[in-house]
Amino acid sequence: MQRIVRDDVIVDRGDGRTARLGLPTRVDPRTATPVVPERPVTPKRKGWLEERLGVSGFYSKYGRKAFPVHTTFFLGEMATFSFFILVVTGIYLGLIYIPSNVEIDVEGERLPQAYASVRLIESIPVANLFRNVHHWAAHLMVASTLLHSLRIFFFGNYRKPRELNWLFGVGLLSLTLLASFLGYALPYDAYAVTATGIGYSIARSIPWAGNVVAELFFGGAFPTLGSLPRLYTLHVFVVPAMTAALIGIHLLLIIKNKHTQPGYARKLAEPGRVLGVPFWPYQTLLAVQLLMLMFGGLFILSALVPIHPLEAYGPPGPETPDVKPDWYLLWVYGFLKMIPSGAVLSTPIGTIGPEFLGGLLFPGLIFGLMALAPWLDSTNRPSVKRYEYLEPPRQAPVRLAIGVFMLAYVGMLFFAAYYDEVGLTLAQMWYLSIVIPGALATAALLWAKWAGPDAEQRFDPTAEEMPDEEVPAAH
Amino acid sequence: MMRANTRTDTRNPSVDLPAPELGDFDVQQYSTRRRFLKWMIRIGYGAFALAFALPALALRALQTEQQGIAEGDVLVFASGNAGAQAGTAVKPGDIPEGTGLQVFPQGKTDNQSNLVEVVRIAPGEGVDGLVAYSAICTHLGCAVYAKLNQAGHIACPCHNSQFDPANNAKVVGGPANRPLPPLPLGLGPDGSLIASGPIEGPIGPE
Repeated sequence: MQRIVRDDVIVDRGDGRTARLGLPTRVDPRTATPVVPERPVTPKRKGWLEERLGVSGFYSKYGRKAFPVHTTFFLGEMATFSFFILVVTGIYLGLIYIPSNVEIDVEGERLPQAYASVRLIESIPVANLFRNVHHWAAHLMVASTLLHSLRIFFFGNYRKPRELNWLFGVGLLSLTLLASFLGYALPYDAYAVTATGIGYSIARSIPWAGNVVAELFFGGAFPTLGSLPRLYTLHVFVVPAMTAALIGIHLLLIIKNKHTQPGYARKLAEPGRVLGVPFWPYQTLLAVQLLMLMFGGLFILSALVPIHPLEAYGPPGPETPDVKPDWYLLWVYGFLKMIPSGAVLSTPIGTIGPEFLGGLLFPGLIFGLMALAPWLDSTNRPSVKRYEYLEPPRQAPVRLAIGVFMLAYVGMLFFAAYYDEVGLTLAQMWYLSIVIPGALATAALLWAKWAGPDAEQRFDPTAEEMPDEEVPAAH
Repeated sequence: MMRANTRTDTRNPSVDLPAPELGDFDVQQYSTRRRFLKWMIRIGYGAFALAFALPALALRALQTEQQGIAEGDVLVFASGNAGAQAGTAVKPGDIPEGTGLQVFPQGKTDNQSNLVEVVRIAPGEGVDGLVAYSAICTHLGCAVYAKLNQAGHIACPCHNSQFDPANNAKVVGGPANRPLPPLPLGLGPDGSLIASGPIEGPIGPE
C-alpha cells in the first residue's frame, strides 16, 4: 500500500468505489486506475477583485519578488514599521495636542498651551501610552535606520547598481534625524525650549542664508508665537510626507535592482537570481510577525519605562536646565563643545563661527562623505560589474578601516559631550578624538590584511559566473 | 541592417513601410520647433515648482510683543532663591561677594532675553563692586548658570562656555566667541537695584 499525494486525479479503488487522491485514503497503486471525472471540471470563477482590477497581474509582477531571509535584512523593515507606528501614534497625539505657546491658567498655574495639552495627554492613560510608544518608536527608527545603513556600508552594497538607493537612504536617515529634532520642541517643557533654542541659534549662524532659514523653520525669533505652528506643521506633515515618498522610492528601487544577498546564496542559486521567499505570502507573514513583535515590544517597553515625562523638566522658566540631547544628536553636541571659540572665519558672504562649524558644517560633512561613498570607493567604477552579494568586510580592508574610523570618531564625539566632566582639557579631547579612532582603524586594517583570504579564495560579490568547479575524473 | 528614412509597421515589424512623402516639410525647422517646445515645457514645470516654493519666503508669523530693558527698570529676582520670592526687588546687599544672582526687569519677565546676571566681584556700598551682564550665552542662547563655577566664572550649562565677570565677561573657556554684553546698574530711590540704561550690545548669539 502506498500513499499518493496528488489530489487532482480520481481513481477507481478496485472495490467498486472511487476515491480522490490526496485525501487520507489508502489506495493500492497496482489496482487503482484513473477514471474520468464524474463532473466536468468548470474553470473556477474569477474573484470579484480579479474581474475588476486584474489583481493576479499585480501578484505575478510584485507578489513573487524574492526576499532573502537573513536577520540583518529585517533592519530596513524595522525602520519602515517604526515609521508606520510613529504615524499611527502621532495621529492620536495630534488630536489632543495644541501647537501654541500662549500662556493660560491651568489649575492655578500659568502654563503654555502646548505644555498644558501634553499634560492632558499624560493624564489620559491610553494617550500617555501612545505618547511613550511614539517616543520609543522614534529611538527605534533612528537606531534601525542607522544599523541598516551600516550593514549596507560594511558589506559594500552601496556600489553599482545601487548608488541611487544609497543616496535615498542617506536622505531618509537625515529626514529621520530632522523629524526627531523637530519633535523635541512640541511638549514645550524646559528641555524642549532649550534644545529648540539651540537649534534656532544654529540655524541663524548659517552664513548669508541664516536669517531666512531660521525664519522658515522657527517662524521668527524663537520662542515666539509663530514658532510652534511652524515646527508642528513640519513635524507632522512636511517631513513625514517627504519620508513616506522617499520610502516608496527606496522600495521601488529595491524591486527594480533586486536585493543583495548573503554569500551562501551563490552556491544555491545561479548567479544573478535571488534566493529567498516570495513577497506573498511568506515574506508578508514574516513582516507582519515583525510588526506585531515591534508593536508588542514597544507597548511593553512604554508601559514599564516611561520616557521623558513632563515633570522631569517642568514648564520653561528663566533658568536653562542642565541638558544634553538624546544619543542620536549627542555627537552634534560633542562637535559644538569641541570647536574652540577662536574658530571664526570672515568671508564675503558672512561670518563662519563655531556654532555653524559644530552645529551644521561638520555634521553635514559626515553626511556628505556618507552620501558620496559610492563615488569615493575605487572598486566602484562605471566599467565594473554589478555587485549583487554581500562582500565579507575582511576582504575589503580599506573600507573596513574607514568605517571603523568614522564609527569610532562619532563615538569619541559622544564622549566629547562629557569631556569636561571627566576632567580632560579641550586639547586632550581633540588629541584623543583623532588618536583612538586612528588606532582602531589601523587595528581593523591590519586584522583584515591578516585574516583576509588570498587572491584565489576571495569571494566574488558580483553576479558574474563562478569558475567551473573541478569535477573529479571518473574511473 | 536598417535603411535610413523608413518606417516600421508597429503591428507587423517585419514589414518596412515606404518613407512618407515629406514634400516641402523642413526637417531642420521641425526639430528646432520641437526643441523650443520641449524647453518651454521644462521652463513651465520649473515655474510651477517655483510658484509653490517662493511664497514660503514671504511667510510671516505672529510675533510675541517683547520689550527690552530700559533705563530706570527695577530689577527683581528671576526665580525664588536667596530667601526671596521671584518678582521682589533686589537690594545690593542680597548678593554676597563672589556670588551671582539672576534678575529680570520688573514687568518684562516674559522676555527671556531680558535675563541678567548680577555678580559681586568686590565688597562695596551701593553698586560699587557689582557688575551685571546679559545672562544669555553668546554661543547658542542658553541662560547661563546663576551660580558661579568653582573658578568664580559665569558658566553656561549647554556647552560649557565660561566668562570672567571681573574682566568684562571675557570668554575664558568653551566655544563662545563674544563676551556677555554688560548692563549698567544704578540705585533706585528705595535703595533697590535698577538698570541705568539698556544692555550695551547684542544679546545672545549674533
